[in-house]
Amino acid sequence: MNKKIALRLVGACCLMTFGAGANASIVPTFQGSSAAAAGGFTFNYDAQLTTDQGLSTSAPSGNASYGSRFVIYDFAGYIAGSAFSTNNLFTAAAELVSTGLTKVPGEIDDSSLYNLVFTYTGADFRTIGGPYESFDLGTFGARSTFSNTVMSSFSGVGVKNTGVPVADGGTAGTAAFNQGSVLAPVAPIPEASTWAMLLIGFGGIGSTIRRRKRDAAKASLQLRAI
Amino acid sequence: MRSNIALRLAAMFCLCSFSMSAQASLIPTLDSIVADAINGGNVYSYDGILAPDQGLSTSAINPGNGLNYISKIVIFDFGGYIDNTVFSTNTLFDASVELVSPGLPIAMGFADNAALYNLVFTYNGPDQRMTGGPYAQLDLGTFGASSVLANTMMSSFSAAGVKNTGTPFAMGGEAGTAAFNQGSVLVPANAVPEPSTWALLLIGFGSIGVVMRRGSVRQGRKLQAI
Repeated sequence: MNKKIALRLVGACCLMTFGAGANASIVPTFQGSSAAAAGGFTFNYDAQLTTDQGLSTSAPSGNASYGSRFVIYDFAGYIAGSAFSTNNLFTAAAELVSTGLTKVPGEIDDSSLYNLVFTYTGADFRTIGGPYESFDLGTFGARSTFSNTVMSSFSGVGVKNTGVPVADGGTAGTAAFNQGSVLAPVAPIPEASTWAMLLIGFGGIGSTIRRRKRDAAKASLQLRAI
Repeated sequence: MRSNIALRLAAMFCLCSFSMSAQASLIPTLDSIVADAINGGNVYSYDGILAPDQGLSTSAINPGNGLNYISKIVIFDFGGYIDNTVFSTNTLFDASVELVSPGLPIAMGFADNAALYNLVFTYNGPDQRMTGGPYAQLDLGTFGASSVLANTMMSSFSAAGVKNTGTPFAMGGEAGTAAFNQGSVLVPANAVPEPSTWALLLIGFGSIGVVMRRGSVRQGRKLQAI
């Protein structure tokens, strides 16, 4: 138990150390959660556009086009209407099923839990002529009734900006897809010690009932003897 | 036709200007095509730089399915591959080919053609940049192979790396977990005649037909005259 607390403290410490500089190719990283005045807990995710990727509302891949966006799967305890984006070029929404994107191998989208969806709505940005400097996209997130976290996954679509432009037969300006793991809220599960306590409690009740029954039987026997 | 030549020149120019600085989150970009003096055909060189938010490992956990993933880059359907020409300038990456590459997601809108070789560049070094990111960009070197073909077409790539931002996985976070990227990349392909070439062929056949017909009509008249 002590070891666990120590690990959590180290984790929190690392969170603070890494939090300020986290960056990603439309890869969201969990930055922490805090109790919200409006109710529940606010989960904050950081996202930065990496040097080799851009943003577009329509980038070709094969015979189809894909708008830049990223999805955080299975955000349990989602509070309706709480999805937010500090970047006004991204809309924030929630949906139960997110179709049309590749998921992390083996990951299944639980259709009973909301996915957070952040969709780019601005003009083409850094779609060719890369690499550029890293670009901070801002903070994204939502509120949950839960404060515990579990490993979930994300899927993002950006634009590959390196090489010859797609208009000239190259690949700069084509859709780039990213997937990986990200922390999401989860309903709390009692710890092993809690289960043990519950078991001891039930055991105690059981033995008390048994003892009382035995005592009552003894008492009735004594009554007959009298 | 003239605008086509102009476009190709522009493309070559872009290739030259971008090749020095092209970089990616394990995203390969076609860098150059030069004649292969030893094996014949052409050497296709791809550039790869590790993005600030990704690391390399021979076994990064993907919590989605509980499997471990080796960091690697796959370039699908490299047409006209010349045996034993696949190469990597980075000794920490093994270069090989395979007809099918199961286990990795493929970019949306593409399929792996089992008749064409895929180039596979597999990391074999020690774990690096697994946690504590982002870091400075890292040039991974040049990867590629030779092909008997000189034309290019749009194909796809798939890569597995490591997400290095956030709390380390050992402490319940995301850093150190597998990260996946897919997108478009140019590969060698058979020359497909352009519409103007087809038109030329059609005109040619047409004129042969006309000449033959005229010839037979004249022959007929001559015979009638006799």
